[in-house]
Amino acid sequence: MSQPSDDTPDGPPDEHVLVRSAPGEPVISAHGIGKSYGHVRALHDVSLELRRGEVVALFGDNGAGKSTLTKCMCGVVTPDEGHLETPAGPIELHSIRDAEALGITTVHQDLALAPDLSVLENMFLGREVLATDWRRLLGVVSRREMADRADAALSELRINLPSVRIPVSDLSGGQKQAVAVARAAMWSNAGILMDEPTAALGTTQSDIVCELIRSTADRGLAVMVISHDIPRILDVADQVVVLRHGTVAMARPSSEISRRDVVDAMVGYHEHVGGHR
Amino acid sequence: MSSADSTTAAEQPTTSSSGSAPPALPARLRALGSTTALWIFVVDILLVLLFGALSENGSFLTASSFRVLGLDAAEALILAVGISLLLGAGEIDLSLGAGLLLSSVFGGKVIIALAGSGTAVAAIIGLFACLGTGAAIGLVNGLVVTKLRVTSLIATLATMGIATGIANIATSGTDLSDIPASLQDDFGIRNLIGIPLPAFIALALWLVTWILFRSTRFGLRLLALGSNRGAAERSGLKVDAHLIAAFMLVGAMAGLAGFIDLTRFATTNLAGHQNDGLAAITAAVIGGTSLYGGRVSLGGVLAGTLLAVILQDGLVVIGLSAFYQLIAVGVVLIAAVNLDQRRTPGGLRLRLRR
Amino acid sequence: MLKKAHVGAALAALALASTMAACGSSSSSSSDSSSSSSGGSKKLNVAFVAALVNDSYFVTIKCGAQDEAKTLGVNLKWTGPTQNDVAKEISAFSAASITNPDAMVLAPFSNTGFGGAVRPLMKKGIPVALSGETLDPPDGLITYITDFLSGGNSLVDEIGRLTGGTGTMAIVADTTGNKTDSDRYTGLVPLLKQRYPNLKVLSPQYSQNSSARAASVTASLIQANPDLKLVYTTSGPEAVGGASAIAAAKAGDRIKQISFDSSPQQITLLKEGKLAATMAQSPYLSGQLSVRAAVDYVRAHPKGGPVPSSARIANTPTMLLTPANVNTTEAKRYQYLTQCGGTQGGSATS
Repeated sequence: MSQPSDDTPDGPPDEHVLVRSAPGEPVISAHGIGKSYGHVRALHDVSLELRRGEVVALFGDNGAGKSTLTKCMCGVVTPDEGHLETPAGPIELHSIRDAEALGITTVHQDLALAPDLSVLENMFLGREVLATDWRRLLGVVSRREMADRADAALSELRINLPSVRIPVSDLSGGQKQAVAVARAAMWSNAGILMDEPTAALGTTQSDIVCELIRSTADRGLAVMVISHDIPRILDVADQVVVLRHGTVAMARPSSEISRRDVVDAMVGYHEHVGGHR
Repeated sequence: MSSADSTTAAEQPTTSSSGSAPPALPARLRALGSTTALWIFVVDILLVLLFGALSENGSFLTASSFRVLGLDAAEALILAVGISLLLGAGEIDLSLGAGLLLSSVFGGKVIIALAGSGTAVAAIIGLFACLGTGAAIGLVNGLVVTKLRVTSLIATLATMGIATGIANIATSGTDLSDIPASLQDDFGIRNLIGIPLPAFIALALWLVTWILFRSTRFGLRLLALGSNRGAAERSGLKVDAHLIAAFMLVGAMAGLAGFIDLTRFATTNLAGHQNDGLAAITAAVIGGTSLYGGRVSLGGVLAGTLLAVILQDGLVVIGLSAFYQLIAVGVVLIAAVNLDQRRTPGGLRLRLRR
Repeated sequence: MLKKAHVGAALAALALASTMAACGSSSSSSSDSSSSSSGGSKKLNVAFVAALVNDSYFVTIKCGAQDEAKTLGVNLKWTGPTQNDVAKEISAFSAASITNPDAMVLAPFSNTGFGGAVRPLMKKGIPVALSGETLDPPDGLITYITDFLSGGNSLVDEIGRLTGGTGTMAIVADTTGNKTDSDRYTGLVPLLKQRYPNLKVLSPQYSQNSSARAASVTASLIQANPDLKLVYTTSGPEAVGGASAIAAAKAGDRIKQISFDSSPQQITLLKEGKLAATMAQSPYLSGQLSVRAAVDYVRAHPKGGPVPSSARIANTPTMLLTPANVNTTEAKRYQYLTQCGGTQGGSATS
């Protein structure tokens, strides 16, 4: 039976210990990033830093450059100006794989889940665990091993599912989001980028996902959340970055600002920030 | 849809699962195939009983009658198993019948050329010629789909014509003769412990494919490709390599069916395989395999293939005239699928979601 | 949205495919280099449209037609569908007629449906000769057709000999709506009833030209009819399927098979004793004569003008081949060809 042998990088070692180092240590930082599409300048001189244990909320109106920035940081887009840096030095990312090799994973807005596959199959897609005996040669997977590890990863984030063996299509929207986050956390040992994690969810489910974001960061990962859902994400964020017309309009700790400040920065009243307080 | 859901991850009353806990009931049903498959099996059994009651002296319910069913089902089952691989990956192959035909032509020519060096040798090399021809057509399909970016529907429609054309050119439009008749007795119509050998082979292939989808990385990845191509890509799967492999595998299965056809009839059948591909797709889809990828029911493939064969043979056995058979087949098809739709609200829901 | 595009493309593709299939497999054959000795200054073009180009019966017609074209010094264009489908043959005929042939020959799949295409040609002065099947109404120049009556009588005799006039007989035919096929059993059944009232003749079952389907039908008929003595298959693929089913049921001793046509497969079956008899037609002769009639008409009417349609029928001979006579010289002349190249050349003597 012919099988393409595209063994993907093994990812993190078998025991995925989520807390790898002291909180606050930088994971990846952007320095003066700029990106243009033809004559359209999507990003200009953007700098930010993701640190372990911290949630960075990235706000901005449509077209402010949030998506482009995320794509730069997860390797989908290569910036024209500036550079990315890890504690080990400057780096260039050319693909999602490159970012994943640094331990940075992405939860896409569409979640990138295969609805017909089970939770565990989704969590291990592309990184399946093979049986240890002779069946390994036939490409037989070890569902039990994968189920154990998926269960462990889910419970670490306090996510409860009826079973990891049910198809993703049978889950609620919040549960799907949780599975996508858990998968990202499982294969990350540094940071997670989340694109609009609450956009498709109702009130209750959004709250649950916010708790999940918090607990992910508390386990020692750096988290960046792109969102339009300002009040909710502001509650879980440690740092807030607001983009406007491709540049950083505001970058402050969340404890120092209000929802109003964020909105003002988004629409261009950032010169008043502080005056209202 | 999701915003209407009231249960949430944290509110879910069930306890967190652990790997050792038995899977939930729906998961067990999925393991069997699908509820659709079960219902088509029920229809199969009901039809067998009905035809048994209506046939003279219950001749439809005899061992020899089941042997006939098995022999008739063998080629169809192989093609249906093959198409399930591609349907699972979200692709389709209309060239199966043409692949079967061209394989039987090349395999037949090899057998004729080697007939002097012993039937067994000729047959074995002929088998590999059939498998190779089928796989080559699959390779072309796979390359056209992945590299030239032609949708599989169009690509395989095109290769269907090309393969049929080559088969006709290679034979000057006449079926091969001179294939040793002993091949028929030794293989094509041979019984092994009372079961036709081709049926054995088809069942073995069915079982292997079932395991492939159930337990292997390749099978899971094919389903992932069919379920969400973009997600599979972002998970780092080599999409093109997997699709080409799947097309080749399916092509080789058509080649196997071609070899069985060749040994069953000791000739080719140039004008007789036009509907084979569509019949295979129909059998798979009736049994619950999705036309849009991601969902495959091997149980349903078996049940759907048997449904077609039972109808085809049973209606002749009970002596229904050929024109009424057409109507009866149509009625039973609608009834069988409708029964499944009523019984399993899930089936309807899934279709709406699609 | 993607899915919708998919379906749209599917429909477009299917439509395209049926168009393509309709005009597929046209191949010009006769060698243009052969010297144009006879006739006028310009070589005549004859278009021949067959019902099914991948069938040894029609391949044999083609051989006869080609050889005759060479003899007469005309160009022959051979075309036809690769599937049993009247509509596709009509499209092929229309396509061939717009290549401005001087004469046409048609081996129609059905006696109806071609009139609309044939009549305008005849009016324009392009004769259309027919091979193997009449048209209804008779719109063509002349029809060369197998002598089904005398052929049928010898089949009836053979059936009587094989069954003793009792038991059950099954008919496995090709497709419905196929007159060339139904000619082979519709006339036969009343004759059998008259001669052998105790022989039960089952209604025909159809195989769609598929050996596998013919095998499955035959196997089911064997199941259903314990007193089945004879299976009559109406052409090559059916005979192959029938023989396989009888062999699989190990019923060769009590169930005999007879068939129509003499494809290489049927000859093999005869020699292996899996076929008790088969009715051979003379397609080579039919191809020769129909081409000759069309060319002769054009040459006899250099000024053109409408061609009168005619119900004139010329019968071509048949021979009942059996294991006993299959190796005789005469029988060899009735065996269909898989490729042209002379074994039957010169058999046109009429």
